[in-house]
Amino acid sequence: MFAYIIRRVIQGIGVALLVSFLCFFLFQYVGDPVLTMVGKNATPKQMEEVRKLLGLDKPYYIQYLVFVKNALHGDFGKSYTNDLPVFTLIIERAPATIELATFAMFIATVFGISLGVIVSLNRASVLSRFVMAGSLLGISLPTFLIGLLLILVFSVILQALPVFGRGDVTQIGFWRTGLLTFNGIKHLILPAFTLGMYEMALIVRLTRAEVSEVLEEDYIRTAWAKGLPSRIVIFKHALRNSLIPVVTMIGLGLGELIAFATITETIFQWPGMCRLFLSSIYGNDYPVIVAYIVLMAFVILFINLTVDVFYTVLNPKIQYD
Amino acid sequence: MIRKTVNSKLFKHYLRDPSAVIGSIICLFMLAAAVFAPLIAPQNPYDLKSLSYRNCLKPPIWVKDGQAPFLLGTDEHGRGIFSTILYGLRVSLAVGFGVVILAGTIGSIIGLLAGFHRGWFGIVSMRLADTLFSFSTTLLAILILGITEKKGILTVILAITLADWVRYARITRGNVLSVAEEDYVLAAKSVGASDIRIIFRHILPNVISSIVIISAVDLAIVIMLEATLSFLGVGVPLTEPSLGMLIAQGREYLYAGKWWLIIFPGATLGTIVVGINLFADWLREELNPKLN
Repeated sequence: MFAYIIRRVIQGIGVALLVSFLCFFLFQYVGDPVLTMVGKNATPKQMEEVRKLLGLDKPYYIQYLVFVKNALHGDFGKSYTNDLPVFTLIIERAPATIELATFAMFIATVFGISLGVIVSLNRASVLSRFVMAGSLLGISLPTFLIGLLLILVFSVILQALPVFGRGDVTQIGFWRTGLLTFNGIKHLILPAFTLGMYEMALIVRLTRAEVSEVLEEDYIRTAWAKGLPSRIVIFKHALRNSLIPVVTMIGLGLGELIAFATITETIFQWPGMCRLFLSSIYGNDYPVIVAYIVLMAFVILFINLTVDVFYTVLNPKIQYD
Repeated sequence: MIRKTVNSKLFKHYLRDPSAVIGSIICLFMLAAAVFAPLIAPQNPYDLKSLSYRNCLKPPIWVKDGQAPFLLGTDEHGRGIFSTILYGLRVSLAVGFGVVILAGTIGSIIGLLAGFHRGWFGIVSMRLADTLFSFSTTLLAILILGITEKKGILTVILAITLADWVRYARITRGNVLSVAEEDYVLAAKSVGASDIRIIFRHILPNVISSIVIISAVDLAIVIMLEATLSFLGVGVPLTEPSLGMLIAQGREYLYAGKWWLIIFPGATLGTIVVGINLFADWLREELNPKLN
């Protein structure tokens, strides 16, 4: 197990190195950030100075090596647009994103698994057909469209829920939370459903397929024959044995969830770090882009490791060598 | 040949599955609409002569103030939504098929070679594929397109391909590994068949069905991904709007209650992806004997 974790961490460092290298490689073909920084009245000499100061006069692989060296010392540089340390910028916005993503994942998992079980127990019922049709829509509508439709229904037509920002937030230490006020939670509902919908639809479909398959197994027939209560047969015997592929998919889906958070945060003007990433892409803010990408590589690694450990809980037969 | 197709087992199974039939009819219908867009559309929305500011932001024809010939209403430049959807569909489908063909070919070939030749090539390419796969396809595509400057449809296709080929490579390699040890492959080797011949005559026919299944699922994913990228403003250029970009443009008028600007392009996008998914579901059940 320990050796396995070490190997995965090394792989994760490889991912971070590769994607950050890709960034620097691409940057040489892109618009000049110096031009946007100094404005159009600057002389060519002044621009050269700024370029030198930022190290942009060097070839891309040197810039990359300098970045790696500084990053190893915990220094990710300063944002080009507002001169603040990149690390602070991202960490400040992290709580908003974490609250949104956790809540979305919670919705997706809880609703997804329970609906999946209900549907697989009674495949022909009207409710099942309705849920399955809904899940087909859920995997066929891109996140941004789901968000816009929810806004149209709940905000423009019904005028029931707010769609901009986080509402009232409370500061606890470095963590700014929106979960402690009624208004803050109201602001969280639409973005969280938007973000969780695709994942939820995937989980419903996979849970249904897996549980239906397991319900045909001999040991389930034995369990029924023994006269066990249906609660035990369904949850202990059937569900637990069908969860492994579901957990795999939830784990794989979390990477995409972070990408979709970019879209959700943009639509709902959620002040999180994914929106920061997108605005830094529009503004050629290289240090922020690279730092965000590296951070995401580690977040995804951490999630995958957690999922792997969770496997061993679900199925003690699985061992990592 | 037509008779052979009609009588085949696969075709009979297909006819017995209503959702497969509905799915494929939707796909064919959308494909025809995209191909014949210039003939069907009442106006060419990108011909400035056909636009007039008097026709701005008209609602659909059945709502009060609706106006012929703008069946589904107009946008802020007086372009008929029905026409912009037809032209947008062309762009969306072009990117979708472009990526599936390109990424499918490249990914499958890399997967075939990596599974067959387990030396340095297999190790390097699969490490790369695993690395990219553990990152997010969407995030990678946003990153690549976000910092590339000159953009056309081809750039979008290439960027998505760069992030998407791993899907094909990983699964194809896995299948090749399980086929490569079969007796018929060993037999072909022992009579001295060349590697190329073994790969294409003996291995490929046995892994092609899973490549077909992934392609179908991938087409749906790529069409949604392109829409997302264009919605964020890092996808196709303004001059060649896809369905995603039409929705992005309509978003500005959402709060003003101009719902038709996003509902119709959105419904078109949703319908086509539903169609592909229905067909892909059937393909998966039919071509993957393990599931039956």
